[in-house]
Amino acid sequence: MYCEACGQAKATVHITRTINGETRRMHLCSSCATEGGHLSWASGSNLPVTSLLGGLLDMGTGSAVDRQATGGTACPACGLTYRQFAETGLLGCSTCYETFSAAIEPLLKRIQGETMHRGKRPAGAATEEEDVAKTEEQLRAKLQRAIEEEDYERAAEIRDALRELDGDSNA
Amino acid sequence: MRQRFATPCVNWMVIRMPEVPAPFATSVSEWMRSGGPSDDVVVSTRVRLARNLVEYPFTPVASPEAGKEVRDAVAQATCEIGRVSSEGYAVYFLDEMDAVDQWILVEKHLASPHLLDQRACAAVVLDDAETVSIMVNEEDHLRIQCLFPGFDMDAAWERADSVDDHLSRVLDYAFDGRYGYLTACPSNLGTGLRGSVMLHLPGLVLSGQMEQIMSGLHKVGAVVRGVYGEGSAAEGNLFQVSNRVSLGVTEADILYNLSAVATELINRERSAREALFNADQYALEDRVYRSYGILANARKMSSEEALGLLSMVRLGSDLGILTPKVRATFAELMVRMRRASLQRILEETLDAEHRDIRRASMIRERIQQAS
Repeated sequence: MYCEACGQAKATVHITRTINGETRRMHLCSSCATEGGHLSWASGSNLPVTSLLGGLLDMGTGSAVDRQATGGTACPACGLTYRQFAETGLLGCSTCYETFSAAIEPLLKRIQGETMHRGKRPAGAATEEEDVAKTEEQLRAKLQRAIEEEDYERAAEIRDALRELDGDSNA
Repeated sequence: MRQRFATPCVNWMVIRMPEVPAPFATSVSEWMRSGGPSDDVVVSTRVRLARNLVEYPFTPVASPEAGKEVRDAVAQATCEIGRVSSEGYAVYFLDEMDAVDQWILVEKHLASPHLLDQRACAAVVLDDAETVSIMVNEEDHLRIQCLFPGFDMDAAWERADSVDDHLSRVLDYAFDGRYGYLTACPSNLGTGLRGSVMLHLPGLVLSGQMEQIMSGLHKVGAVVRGVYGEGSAAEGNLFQVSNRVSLGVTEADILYNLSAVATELINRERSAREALFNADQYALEDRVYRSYGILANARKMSSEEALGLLSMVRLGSDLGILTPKVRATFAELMVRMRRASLQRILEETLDAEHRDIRRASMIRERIQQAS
């Protein structure tokens, strides 16, 4: 049996519709069926919950975040822009976490409450102590840069993160 | 033509009959069996780990080519596990499956509806007992899920942890010393862990306590939602409780806290059932037997109605009003009576009305067999 719509390919999709009590059968190939929207079973709207996270980003954002937004910062690895991240709440690749760190840190505080991983590590990864030391070093460098740029709001955030890291490692 | 399709009262159904039905289409998953710990209240326990491969963009922005490479890499890695352990795994590519089989995966809780949207490069890896299901290219490259019957957090975690260990030797995970396992959505960052317990809570719903409990759980870091439908009036009185936070806490602590919350809910549910029984035994028995009567005799039944009645019958079985065998059919019927599973069992394409007729007859048969 050939597809009713294109008459070219073999009909593999068989549709039975009952409209106002009248039953009608259709025989289509899969590409015509997909095109006609017959192959989608999804019921109702599928509102992505993650897009709500985008909304959280705009709450009380610091000046560094505003710069990223207006400056249209894009991830050098995958090309995702800050705007896209804010819209979907999803990141594009591992490098995005570094690229948008100024926006991600406060977001993590709000949704997770914490910003430092505790738990399982893949085989071959550095130890937790090594990573804490490395993070501390990176944060100090960022703090220095923020002070030089006179971005005191950002500097205060970084100082808080450093304090927290210090507190955690002493705990 | 367009006009016709826009008619509001349209029931339609698509089916592509494959040469051979997928093995999981008619099998019973391990979690659908009864006899797990605390199975008077808990249907199943799930542990899910979100993982991504470092050298590829995350699924939501990946090109179809990159998506397919990820899929192939995971498929190959699971073959590797099969070689080093005694576990047998099967890999299913969604674009090679028909729509009915894809939906059966969702109905059996082995895949999410979102995975079906990604079908061009999506896959599901299943072990023989269907306790492990790895979704490939859902929101993250890998979602390792382990699903056990009853309340069994340790079993679910140990299995997920072991599969993850095996895979991490072959796959290069995206991991950061500070943020942990990197995920597409920051809400899964860190451990990438989400534990969930599926509970049957008719006692708490009937005694009107559910609303209050749902808001209280948020304060202790747990999220509760209806398995079918949202809010405190979830169909079938089935609720899923999960951890909210995944970063800054160890896996052991996350699961310990979640277990504590679930244990509290189990105890409250048992007390609520006892109180209902003691307050008006005849009213409760009447409700159970009426539900049983409808399930054992009705000729047409929607899945919403069936879920509600099955919930009452299961409660009756838990309280010793009906035989324990009735409870044993609950999880299986819950899956079997849904749209795609029903079609596959009957090997027929059905419109909504005929589906309701066949659903009623299947339930009738099972319920009568069990009593």
